[in-house]
Amino acid sequence: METPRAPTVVSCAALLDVRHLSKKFGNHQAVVDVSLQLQPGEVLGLLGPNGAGKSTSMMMISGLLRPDSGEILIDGRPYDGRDSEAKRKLGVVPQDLAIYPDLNAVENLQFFGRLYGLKGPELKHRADEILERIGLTDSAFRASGNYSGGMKRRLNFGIALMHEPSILILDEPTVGVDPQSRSHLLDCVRDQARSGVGIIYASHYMEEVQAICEKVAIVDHGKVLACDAIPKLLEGLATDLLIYVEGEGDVRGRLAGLARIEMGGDGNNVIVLSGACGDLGERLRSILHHLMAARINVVRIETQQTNLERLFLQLTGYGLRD
Amino acid sequence: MSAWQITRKDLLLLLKDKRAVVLLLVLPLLFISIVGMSTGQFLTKDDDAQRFRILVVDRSQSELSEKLVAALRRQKEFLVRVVESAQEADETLSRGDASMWLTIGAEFEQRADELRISEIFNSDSGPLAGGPEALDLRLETRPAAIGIGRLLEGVIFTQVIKVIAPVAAEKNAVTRTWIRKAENEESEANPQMVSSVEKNIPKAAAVYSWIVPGFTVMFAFFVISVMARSFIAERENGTLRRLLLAPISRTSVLAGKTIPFYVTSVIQCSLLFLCGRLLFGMSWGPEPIYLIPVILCTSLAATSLGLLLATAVHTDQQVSSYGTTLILLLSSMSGCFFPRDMFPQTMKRASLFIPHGWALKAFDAVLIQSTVDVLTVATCCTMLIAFAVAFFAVGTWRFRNAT
Repeated sequence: METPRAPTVVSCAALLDVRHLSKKFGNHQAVVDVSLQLQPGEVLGLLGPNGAGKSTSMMMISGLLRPDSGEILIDGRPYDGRDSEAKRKLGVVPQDLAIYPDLNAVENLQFFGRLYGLKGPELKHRADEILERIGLTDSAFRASGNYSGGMKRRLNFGIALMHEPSILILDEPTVGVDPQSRSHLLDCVRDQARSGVGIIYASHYMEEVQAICEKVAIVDHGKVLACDAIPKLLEGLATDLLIYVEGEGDVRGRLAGLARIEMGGDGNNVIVLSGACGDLGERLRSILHHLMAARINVVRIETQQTNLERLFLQLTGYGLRD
Repeated sequence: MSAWQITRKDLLLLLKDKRAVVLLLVLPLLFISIVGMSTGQFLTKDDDAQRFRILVVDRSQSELSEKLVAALRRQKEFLVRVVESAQEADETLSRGDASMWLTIGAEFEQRADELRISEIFNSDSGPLAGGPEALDLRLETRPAAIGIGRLLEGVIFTQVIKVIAPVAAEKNAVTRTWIRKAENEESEANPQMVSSVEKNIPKAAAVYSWIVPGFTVMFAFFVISVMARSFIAERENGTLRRLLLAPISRTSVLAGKTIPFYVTSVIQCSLLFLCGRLLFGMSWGPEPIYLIPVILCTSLAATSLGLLLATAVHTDQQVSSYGTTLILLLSSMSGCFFPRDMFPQTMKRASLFIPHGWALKAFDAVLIQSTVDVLTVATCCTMLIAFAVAFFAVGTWRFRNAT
C-alpha cells in the first residue's frame, strides 16, 4: 500500500526572523529587544555608532553568541548556533579579516569549501567561479598574506560565498579598501541580492548603505531606533535650517544651547537648526534676534537636503562616542 | 571528516612554517648531535671525551712508580698523562683540562717497600690508615670535580694497593706463591673479559640510551608551544571564528587542530630514535617493538598538554614565557637532562606526577633492561593515556567556555 504523501507546505516565513533578542555582559546591556526580519533578495542595512550593539547582534544571529532571551528563526526553524543545516545557510563576512595569510586564495577558498561539504570537481569549479567573481584569478596562487588590503577584503568576502549561503551577514566589508575594490565588492553584494540571497549589511558608510539597501535598521544603545525602507524613513525626516553668518564673532558663546554651530567651507560659521526638535519658527526668531543684537550679519539661510546620514545623526545624536 | 580537513590544512601550514619545522625537527637533531659531539660519540668518535683525565707528576722515578702509572693507564676510564712539573699539572688542572692530579713523591717506593702484607690488608688501622699520604702520594682534584674526586681517589688508591701488594707479598713465602698464581690467572682471563664487555655494551649505547629518550621526551613536549601558537594564530587571523561558524562541532575543531601536532610529534620522536641508532649507534633495547607504544603514548600526552596550554594562553608572549618555562621545568624535574638513576627517590616519585616521568620510565624499561619489562611499559602507557585524556578533557572544557 502506498503511503500517502504529506501535502506540500509553502512556507511564508521570512528567510531570517530575529525576535526580541537581548544580551547583557555583566552590568552592560549590549542588546535590548532587537527584532528584525529579512526576506530573500533583500538587503537590510544595519547602522549604528560604535558600541551600539550591531556586532553583538550579528554574532548572535550567526550563532557565535547565545542570546540571553529572544529567538532566531532561519527559514522558520529556530536556530541556536548548533544546527548544521542552518549553519550551511549562513555566510558571514566578519569585520576583521579572517583568512590564512600563509595559504593562497585557492587554498583558503577550497579549505572553507570543504568544511561545508564541497569536494572534487564541484569544489574546484566553485573556487574558480568565486576567484573570478572577486577578481583574484590572476593572484590565485600567491600567499594571501602578500595581498593588498583590497584583495584581502575581496578574499574575505569570497570565502563566505563558497558554500552558496542563502543569508549573508556582512560586517563592514569595505573598511579600508580603495574605491575600485569597494565598487567591486558592492557589485558582488548586489549580484548576491539579485540571486535571492538575503543580506544584512552593517556599515558606517551611509552612502554605501543608501546605495545598496532597500531597508535600514538604525541601532543605538542596543535598541533598534528605526527600521523601515529608506524612502519611508527619510519621508519623516524633519528639515534642518542652515544659517550662514559672517565673521568670527563669539557666535558659539552667544548661541550656546540654542543651536549647533559648525564651521562652513568658506570660513564662516553655520548655525544648524534641527527641525526635529521644538518649534522651528520660534527658535529661528530667537536666533535671529541674538544675531542682530550681536551685530552678526546673516549671509544666507538654506534648508538641508534629507539623507541617511542626517537621519542617523538625528536619531543617535551628534556627541562623540569613543 | 571535517576534523580531517582541519588536520590537512594545519599540516600544510606546518610545512610552510619554517620556524615550526626548525623547532620540532631540526633543533632536536642538532641538539642531540651537539650533545653527541660533547660526549665524543658523534663525528669525532673520541673515546677520550668520556674518560677522566689524570695528570701524574712522578718524583719517585722508580720501578714501582712506573708500575703504578702503567696500572692507572690500564684503567679504561682514565686518560693518564705524565707531566714534568707540579706547576704544569697545576696550570692544566686550573684550565679544566684534567680532573685530577697525582703526585708520586720521592719516597713512594721506599715507603711501599717498608709495608708488610698484613698492614696492607689492615689498611684501616695500620700505616695506610693515613690514606695515600702515608705512601707519599698526593691527590689534587679540580674544584668543579670535587664530587667525583672522592670516587676517583678510591679507584686510584685501589690501583696503588694492587701495585704495592705484590711487593709486600714477595716478603712472605705463602703469599708469594698465591699472588703469582693470581697474577697469571688474571693475565689469561682479562683479555677475554674486556673484549666480551666491549662487544656487549657499546660505549655509545650507554650514553645514548638515556640522552636520546631524555631529549626525545623533552622535545616531544616542545610541541606544546607550537600548538599554542597555532591556536593563537587562528584567533588572531579571525579564522577560528570562521571554523566555529562552519557546520562542524567544537570537538571536531579541537581534534582537527590536535591531530597534525600529534603526527608531527610521532615523526619527531621516531626520527630522533632513528638518528640515535644510525648516527650514534644507540641500542633500541632487546625488543624495539615496544618503543612504538611508548612513542605513541608520549606524543599523545604531549599534544594533549599542548591543547590545554593553547586554551590557557592568549598571546605569543604568554606562549614564550609559560610554554618554555613549563617545558624546562617538567623536563628537569623528570630526568630528561640526567639519568633517572642519579635522581633521589623523592624526585623519582615526584616525577611520576607528570607525564614526562612515566614516559622516561617506559623508555628505561624498553631500552636499559636486558629483557623488556612489559608490565612496566603497559603501566606507563596507561598513565600517559590517562594524562592525555585529562588534559584533553580540561582543554575541551576551556575551549567550549571560551568560545
